[in-house]
Amino acid sequence: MSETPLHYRSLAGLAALMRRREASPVEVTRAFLDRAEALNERLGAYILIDRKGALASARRAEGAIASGGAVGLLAGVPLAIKDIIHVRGVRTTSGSRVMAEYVAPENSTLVERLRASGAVLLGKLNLSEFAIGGTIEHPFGTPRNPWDLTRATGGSSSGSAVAVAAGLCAAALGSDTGGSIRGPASFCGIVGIRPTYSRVTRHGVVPMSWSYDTIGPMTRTVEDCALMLQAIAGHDPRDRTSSKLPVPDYREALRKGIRGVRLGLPREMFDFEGLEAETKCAVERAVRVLKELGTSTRSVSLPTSPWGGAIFLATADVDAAAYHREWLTTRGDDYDWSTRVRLESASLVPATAYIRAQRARSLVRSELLTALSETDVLALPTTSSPAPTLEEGTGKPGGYYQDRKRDLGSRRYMSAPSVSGLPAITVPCGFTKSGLPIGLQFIGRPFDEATLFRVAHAYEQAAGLYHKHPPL
Amino acid sequence: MIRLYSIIAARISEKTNLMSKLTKAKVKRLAALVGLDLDKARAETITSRLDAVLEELEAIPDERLAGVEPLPVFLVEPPSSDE
Repeated sequence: MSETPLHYRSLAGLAALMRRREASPVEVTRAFLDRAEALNERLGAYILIDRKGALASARRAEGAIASGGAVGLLAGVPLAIKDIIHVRGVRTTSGSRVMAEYVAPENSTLVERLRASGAVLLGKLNLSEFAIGGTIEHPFGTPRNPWDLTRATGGSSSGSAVAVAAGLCAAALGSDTGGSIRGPASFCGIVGIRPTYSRVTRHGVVPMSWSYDTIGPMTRTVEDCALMLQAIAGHDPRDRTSSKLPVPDYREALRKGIRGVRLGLPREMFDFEGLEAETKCAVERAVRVLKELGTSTRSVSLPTSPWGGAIFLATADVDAAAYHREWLTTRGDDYDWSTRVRLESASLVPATAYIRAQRARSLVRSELLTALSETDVLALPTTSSPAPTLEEGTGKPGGYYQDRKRDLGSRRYMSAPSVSGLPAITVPCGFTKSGLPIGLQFIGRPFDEATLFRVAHAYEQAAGLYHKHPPL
Repeated sequence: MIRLYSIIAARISEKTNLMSKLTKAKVKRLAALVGLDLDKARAETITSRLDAVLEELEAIPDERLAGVEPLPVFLVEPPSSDE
């Protein structure tokens, strides 16, 4: 047995230990609960820790394993979910005072699927208000980056990223509209996938944008990410947009190796003047590792992608403004200042601008599909820079999100797959001199998450960075 | 044909911007029409934010958008080979 502490074991490793009865689901759950309760005040990861419910689930998992019958893929594994995902009888706050007292009347399909696979739900995780990003004052505690507590975590799946990176759960669910899984995962040094739009059900999840929202796993390894997506992907009659395409065996894809895989390197993502030197250097180093593993590379162009940020804000935010219309006029003061300003701005986007952005959105998708017709995946930085300071990482006037050039320009990295509905994964590829994680992103063809897992896993195993954990 | 469309689109675009020059007063009036009462700080930030987004959208070359239709909701199945 390795010396990795229990709380930093992989999901796959923990599941195997418990299936072999070398670890007890109840003891594993208790260990994660103790750690989460001890560190949550410092890290602001959880909004709700459900000790009683988690231990009851763990006992059921333990009983199922002990009976010797077939158990689910995630039997006994302690997970946590972003607090926009409904659990019947439990508050879904969406990280907002507006929904602080809202109790979900039914389970989301995601919760039903996780429970059906035997997972133990530890609690609900903090986030940027309504999954929008840039929150200045989090009503349920400020999420802090476990690699440096003075740094931001990125949003909006901030609590999910913190909890996974700090070992407060084995893995988590986040949601990604314009980068809300990939950004925090990159800033906190973990793996996160935005699946193809419609691959994962959105039933029972508070929306940000109906035509952008995706739900995905955030984990410490690529294999864990594949396992968790396996448990939640697939058609759901309760979500009319969910795809009926069969779900492949993602874990099987990990065993194939990547010799002969063609990587596309988008020029607009490597030549951007706002790309910080250490980030660029780490990603270029990762590409060299991938070449040594047998991939070929070629330069590709995504000429409209630099406008991805503006396209996103003029479309996804307009969806959000429509959803929040009534609350904005009746409970405006209950919103965080930054969320309110962002929603009010989107309420005023002219219809002609909205349609222009939707046309440009088609164009970005078309350019990505063209690039992916000549290559298998695209490799690029996940973000233009590592985690900003807590002060910079909010929507305060003068902060990171208020700096027009920096914000709109740097949004291109995560906006391109978001506006196109394509899948993208981030995996750690290095650290800055000051010890902050850097993320490498791969974008794939629609519904080809298997190739993303395959490439990301091969890189991860070669680089070995998954052994590093924050100095807590 | 596409070239002709591009020229026409470019000329229309020169004459009709996505929104005439934004001012704080215009933003406050527009907001009032949709039931939002903006204070000074929010009006300032929204004016600057909206101005930035609209300016960026206008900077997308019209020629590139010629003949491109909006695609607000994506197909849930894989694209056909001619997409």
